[in-house]
Amino acid sequence: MSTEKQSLRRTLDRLFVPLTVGPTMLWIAAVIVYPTLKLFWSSVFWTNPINGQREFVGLRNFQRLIFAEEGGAFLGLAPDFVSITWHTIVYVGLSVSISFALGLGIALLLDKDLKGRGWFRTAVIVPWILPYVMSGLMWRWMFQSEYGAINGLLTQSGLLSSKIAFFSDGTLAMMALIIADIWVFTPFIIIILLAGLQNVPEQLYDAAEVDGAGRISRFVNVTYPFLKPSILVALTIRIIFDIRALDLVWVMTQGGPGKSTEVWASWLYRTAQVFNRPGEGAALGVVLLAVTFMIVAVLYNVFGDSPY
Amino acid sequence: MAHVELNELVKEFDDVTAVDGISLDIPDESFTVLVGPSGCGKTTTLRLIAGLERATDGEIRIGDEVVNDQRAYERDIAMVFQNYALYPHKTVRENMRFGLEQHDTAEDIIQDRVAEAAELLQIEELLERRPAELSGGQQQRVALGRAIVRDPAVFLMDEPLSNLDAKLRVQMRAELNKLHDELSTTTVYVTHDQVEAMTLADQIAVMDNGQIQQVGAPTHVYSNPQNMFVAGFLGSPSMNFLEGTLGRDSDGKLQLDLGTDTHDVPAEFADELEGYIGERVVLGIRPENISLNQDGIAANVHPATVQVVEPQGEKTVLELDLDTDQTIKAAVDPDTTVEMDDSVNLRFDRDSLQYFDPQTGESLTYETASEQKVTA
Repeated sequence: MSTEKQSLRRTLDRLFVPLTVGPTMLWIAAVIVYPTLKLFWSSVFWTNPINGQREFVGLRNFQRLIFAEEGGAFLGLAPDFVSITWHTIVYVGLSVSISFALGLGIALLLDKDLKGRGWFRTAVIVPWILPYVMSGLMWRWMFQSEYGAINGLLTQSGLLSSKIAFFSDGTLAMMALIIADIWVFTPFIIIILLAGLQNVPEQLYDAAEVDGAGRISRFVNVTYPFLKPSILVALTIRIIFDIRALDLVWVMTQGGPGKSTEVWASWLYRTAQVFNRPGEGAALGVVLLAVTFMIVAVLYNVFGDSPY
Repeated sequence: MAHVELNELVKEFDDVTAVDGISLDIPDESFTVLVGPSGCGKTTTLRLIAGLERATDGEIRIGDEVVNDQRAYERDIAMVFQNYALYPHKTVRENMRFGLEQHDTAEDIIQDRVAEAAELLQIEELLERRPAELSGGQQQRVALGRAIVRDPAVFLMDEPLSNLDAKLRVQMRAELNKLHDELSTTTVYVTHDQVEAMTLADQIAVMDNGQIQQVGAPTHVYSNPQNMFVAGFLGSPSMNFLEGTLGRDSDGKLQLDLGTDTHDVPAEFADELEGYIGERVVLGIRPENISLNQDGIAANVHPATVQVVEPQGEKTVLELDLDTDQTIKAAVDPDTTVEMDDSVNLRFDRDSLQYFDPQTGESLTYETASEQKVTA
């Protein structure tokens, strides 16, 4: 081989890694690293809504959102922060846990050799493939106080004597939101867990049967260890989705009545877009990101070790 | 310890009859191998004994008890699975303990049994590891250990060696033999590997189409197959079958007309074959019972042309075309020097001939052949 060819070859060898990995790295930098840094950057500025001028304020945005103070005196946590955090915990906690329990149950059922299983497996995905906004509109109509299907059902069946204005009561509105959320996202859990259940080797159930393991013991000792990776994926994605879920909330209640169904995602949107305070919105985004990371870390700790 | 008895056992899955009325007596302390091709119903039979499938009809007895309605864990059996089926998140020790724990066995007994089994199988140093950290052979030992600690009346083994490499399989086969000698637990073993079946079993049951084709001691079944299926299934390369019309030669002796060649039927089979004169009959001869006739023309030799020479070390397998256009295999001495296209004369060992009815596949000479072997 000539020296010229050799040196060309060496140059190509040297460029191989940057050329192949480079575009991906650039892409990641553009869509993940830059926006994240931008978020952090924006969270320490205050933008004048009138002339758009930006002023560095340090952690002031965080302070204003999280703490209540008057004239420099610290009065504890901000009431909005406390109540909205509480709504978020209730909303995410209840929807995730109920849809997880439901999803697990249905997945276990669908994993069995039941008649019409194929049909049901397909049908069960429908709520999830509908656009969230559409689902939100549908449920808003379902819970509508005058002509809604749910009021209709409850009054016509005699369970209720008068119709309920679901969206005029904070608790009922939250309940409506949670029901819609469960309806939309349970299929996702079912699909992920069903895929996980296919990974459990049939022979292990046989072995457990021969060993004398009962139904619960079989679930704990055979199904669960194999399902853990799927549970991790399902819960992680589900919780992240719910923490940032804006669509359903915005379409169904817009955080109302009052602020009774305001959650972090809608609060963030309202702050940044409606009240035009990008700095505070970004600060909220940072908090959300941190909380999400912590939750994911906990989930990985609990479900992270795989049996393989 | 217990004997196992299957009476007219039937298992149907929707339209498929996987086990079709089999009856089998598995003596106490025996090592019985169910052998047959894929889909013959051997694994289903084992699962029926285990209680992992419910019989459609018939009766299963373990000891003196009919166990049809008992769950697997009530049957005093332990099973070793093809893929080991170890709990992946449990250590070896936990895997072995699990069955005993489910049966509420006292802690000191559990510890003793696990220690004993681990010692027997030489897996003491693996006890704290997880299955993923073990080799195939080690996992197989653990699976055996899990069965042994239960101290069951019957071991059920479903192709336990099929996932091991050839060398390890031979080694584990020997160990299984030794283990059975030591424990003397009644064992029912399923395999499609006839060598495993022949080497491990005191009794083999050859299965096909959900039915037992023949039961007996391995060597007996090998030498005296009751039908063409058994004859063809056991042995590698498998038995040669040559079909012809039965008639008489000029001396009035029975002769099989193979077309351009004839085969003289030994006189001892005359009584059994008498009734088949003028009918089609299949001659069966194992490759190892065919030799090359080096002494020139003699009675009852068959001219053939060598097509393929396969030296296999301990023997050389020849594929030959008979003058009748039938193909035949012969396993000959490895020192034999023949080449492709050589013309040879084949001599069939007259003590190893079998005759079958081509319609039913049944042996026509089973009685005489087996008597002959016994007296010889």
